[in-house]
This record gives sequence, structure tokens and C-alpha cells, in this order.
Amino acid sequence: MTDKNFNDLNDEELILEFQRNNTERAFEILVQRYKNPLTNFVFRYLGDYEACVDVVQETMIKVYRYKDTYQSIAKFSTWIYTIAGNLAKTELQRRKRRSFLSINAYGKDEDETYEIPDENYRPDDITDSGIKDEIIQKAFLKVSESYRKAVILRDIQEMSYEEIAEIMGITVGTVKSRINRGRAQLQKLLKHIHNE
Amino acid sequence: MNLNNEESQYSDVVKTLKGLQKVSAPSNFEADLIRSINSGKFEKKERSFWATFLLPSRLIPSAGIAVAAIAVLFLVNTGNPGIEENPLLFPPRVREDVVASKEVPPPQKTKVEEVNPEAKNKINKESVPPPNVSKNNSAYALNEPTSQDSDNSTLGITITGPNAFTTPSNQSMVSFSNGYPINRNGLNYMQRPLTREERAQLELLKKQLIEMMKELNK
Repeated sequence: MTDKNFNDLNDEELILEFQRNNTERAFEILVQRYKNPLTNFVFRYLGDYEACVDVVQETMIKVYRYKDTYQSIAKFSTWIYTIAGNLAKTELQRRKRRSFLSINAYGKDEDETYEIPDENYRPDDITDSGIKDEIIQKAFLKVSESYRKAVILRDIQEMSYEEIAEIMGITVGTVKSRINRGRAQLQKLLKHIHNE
Repeated sequence: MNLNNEESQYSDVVKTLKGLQKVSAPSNFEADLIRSINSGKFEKKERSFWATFLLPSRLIPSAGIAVAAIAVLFLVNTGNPGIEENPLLFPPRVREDVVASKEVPPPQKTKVEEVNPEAKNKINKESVPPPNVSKNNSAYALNEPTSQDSDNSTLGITITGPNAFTTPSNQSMVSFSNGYPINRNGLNYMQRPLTREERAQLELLKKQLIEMMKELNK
């Protein structure tokens, strides 16, 4: 199968191709398709770009490694968003613990490695155009985790209620309720922006 | 409130969120990913059985349960002093409540039928009284035919009550005719559980006694 043909395949066909024939090209196309949506989703959830990139990398590695656990009855997007959401949640919990413990342990770790910073656009950089984004992002982080996730998936990732319900493992009614509660919290937090 | 109405209520929030700048992955994302996959650093290390068993997450709860169980056993045992006694090191308990303190009713002469006549002869031979013991006041006179039981030749065992022992009413002492008095202090005996055979034997004797009593009442 040529490269052009692979690009014509949908997500489910690509993952099946990767499962059956271990075609790495199919996996690469899936990575190309999902790296940005997942980065956007995880960044809005975590609020930390570096951590978000790590989580998305880990998500892709999990897809690569556990490709056989995917079942064609589910949508690929639902599966990959579920993995990313779970990893992001774990990362959030880890960060909370670390922030609590690292106050006294700062600078003691000798094995710390340094990475060359990426010079591309980073949303957490404070620029004139990004001030509003930053305020919204800070407000987002104040919203309850479960509400935040539902709101991101609905209003930023523009997913259907059914997909969100499947990703979060809850009913559609609960999804709607959480979205509205999250929006209500955001409205309170962003009142000054809306009044301008 | 209807959810659709609520959605319109938060339209400004929805609009703000949809207008947010999209965040993209870094340009070297795929190269890093391929490097990570090829380096195999994501591969899960296989743990040995003992390493898995000795994980703190598994070891701590099981050790806690074991310690708690030991503590409970210790507390339960401490609260029961009876268990500390070694029955082999203590003398048998004296059941003073069982010692006769009132007059024993004079037993009646009873007769027990024996089916086998050979057994009767055997019993009679074994229960021959010693020469120095008087016939009237002897425990050995159990099987000796008296004027009352001489009528019935089928009887194998004869219990002669009044002659067997004396029961003074003013003393709580029982004395056998062979001159060995048993006083209250001598009545300490050990309680022991009966075996199945002994119990069956006892039941048989009980039945025989009941039958005898019935016959006597007739």
C-alpha cells in the first residue's frame, strides 16, 4: 500500500492496519492526526506545556505498545482521548503531590537533567496577545477537575455528548450536568472579561 | 431548568472558549517519540515473584493484618485465665456438691434377668465371698440367692440392697461391709468423658434398671 493510500484511510482502518501488519506508517499518520488535538486538550487540562507534551508522548507510546488492546467496536478517537485523559489525570495528581513534597527537597536531586528549551510558540509565555488566553487558562485551572475535562472536550475539542460520555465513562446526562456546572464556574471566574 | 436553555445562558463562556488559541505539539514531537520508542525505555521491567511479593504496597497491608491478628489472639488469650491451667499438673476437682449429705433411701432388692445361663454361672463364680466376710452384710452377697429371689431361677444378677451397705442417717458417710469406710474426704473423683462404648453400656444398664423398676412396680 502506498503512502497516499494510507492517508485516505480513516483512524479505525489505520489502527487495524497497524495491529494486523505492524505497519509503522499507519501509526505515524495517526500520530500526525492526533498530536495537536491531544496537546490542546491536555494543555487546557494541566496548564503546563512541558508536562502536556510528555503526557501526549506517553499516550502515543501507549497506543504503540498496546495497539492490540484496541477493539474495533469503539472509535479510535474515543480510545486515544481516554488514554490521554487518564494520563493527564495521573500527571495532575503527581504534580500535586510533588508540589507538596518538593518545597523542602528543592535542589537536592543531583541527577536532574536539563533540556534545551523549545523556541517555538508556547502558550504559557506571557505576550500581549496571550494575556487573555492566560487569564482564561488560569480560570480553567480553578474549575473542578471533572467539570473542566467535560468543558474542554465539549467547548474546545467540540466533541459530541455521547463521545464525552464514553471517554469519561459516565452517562450523557451526567456529562451535560458537568458541562453546565463547569460553565457556570467559568462564567463567575471570567465575569470581568465578559463585562469589558 | 432545561439543559438547552442553560447552554444558551452560557453562550458568552462557550464563545470565549471556542475563541481560544489552539495549542500545537512541538516541531520535534515525532522525532522524540520515535526516539523514545526505539530506545525502548518505555518497556515495562519484568519483576520477579519475590520482588512483586516484597513490594511495600503488598507487604505493608499483609504485615499489618498479621500483626493485628496476633494482637487479637494475645488479647483474647490473656482475658481467659482458665486456659493457662495445665490440667495435667492440677489434682482433679472435688465435687463436694455430689457427696451425699442426707439419708440414702434403702435400696430395694432387685432382680435382673439374664438371657444367657452360662454367664450367670460365671458371675456367680466370680462373686464368691471371701470366707471371713459374713453373708448377711456383704457386698459379695449381690448374687447370692435369698429367700426373695430364690423363686425365680432365670435371674442372673441379684442386688441385695439393705445388706450391701449401711447408711447411718446422722453421718454423711458410707461404709461397705468389708470394713473400708468412705468418708466425705475420700469421695474425690475425677470427671472424665465417657467413650462411646462406655456410654452405650451405661445406656443399656439404664434400660435394664428401668425395666427392673417396672417389673417391681407390677
